Amino acid sequence: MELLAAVGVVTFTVVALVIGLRMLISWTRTREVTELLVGLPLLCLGPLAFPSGIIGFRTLETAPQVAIPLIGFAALMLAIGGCCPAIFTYRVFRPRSGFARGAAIALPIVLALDWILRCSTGGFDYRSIHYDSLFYLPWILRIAALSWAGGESLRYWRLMRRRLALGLADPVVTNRFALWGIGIGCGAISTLLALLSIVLTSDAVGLDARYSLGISAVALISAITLFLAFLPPQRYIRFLEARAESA
Amino acid sequence: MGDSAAFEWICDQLEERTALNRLEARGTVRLALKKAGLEPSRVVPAQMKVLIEKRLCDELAACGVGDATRLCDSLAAAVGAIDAGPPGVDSPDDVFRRLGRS
Repeated sequence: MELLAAVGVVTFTVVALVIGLRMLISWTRTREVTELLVGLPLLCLGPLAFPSGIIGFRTLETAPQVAIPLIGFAALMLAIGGCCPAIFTYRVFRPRSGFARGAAIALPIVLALDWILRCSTGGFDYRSIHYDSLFYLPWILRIAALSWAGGESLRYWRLMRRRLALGLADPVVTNRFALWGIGIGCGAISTLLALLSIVLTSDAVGLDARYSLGISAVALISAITLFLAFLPPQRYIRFLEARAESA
Repeated sequence: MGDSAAFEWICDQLEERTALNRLEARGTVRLALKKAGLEPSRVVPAQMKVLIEKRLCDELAACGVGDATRLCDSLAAAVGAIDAGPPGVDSPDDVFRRLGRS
């Protein structure tokens, strides 16, 4: 069961690492902030948050002096991983919306304050954690941010599909909106699954095996969609182009 | 949110050259844009040209505008001359196209 649950997480970690690094390298060349806002959360959510969080929770009882900073680091990576897609969504899809701008500014501030507060109050020692509303706040904010990011992209994909019918859109770019929407939306679903496991078991240290398996499955879907979005094989591109031509 | 130069231009043209009033002209164009997956704030002249050729004609005919085909031919020929103004922020299509090349 554990091995099965690891498949999705490891696949996502590898895909996120490759795409995240490519985006960051591209950002150093182009200085386009959107590349940074896609690359950074993938690196934070995949290769940085997952391993440090897993090692932190596994060693919490035996080596808390190492485990607690690791859990704190993972929490910071998850916070960055939640903020960047929200800022990306504001900049790309809603640049003129005051509400979106407010959300994109408020979210990093609230998550940063929450993280600093936890650092100063021992909030990453999950052996003695209180499951109060403050505990759930960053979880809910991250779910909201990732859902917003996924939803906006899927909404735009619907527009692009109509343009495609008029020859006003590229089929590969159109498909990329759907893939990004699903890929980042999976982040919201996996966060929700983790939160549900904590709420139902009041235990954040060892996630329920069924929920772990669910998170792994969702991570696998996210890895596949992000791979097809940003590293599409030629065969997949030809398939999309042929489908658009025949439509 | 401000509407694009192409949107404002086509609405002015319809108001001037048909019996549609301002509200009807803007509503007709908005409906055609929505069906085509385009947004009034972001539509550019090249997209508007395709919209006129492939969608607007039917919408105008449905509104009872006489000789909609000839009007649309004339509008499609003229729309390319619109000054779209300085390029604003990248559209989502531009960003996602660029991300695919990263």
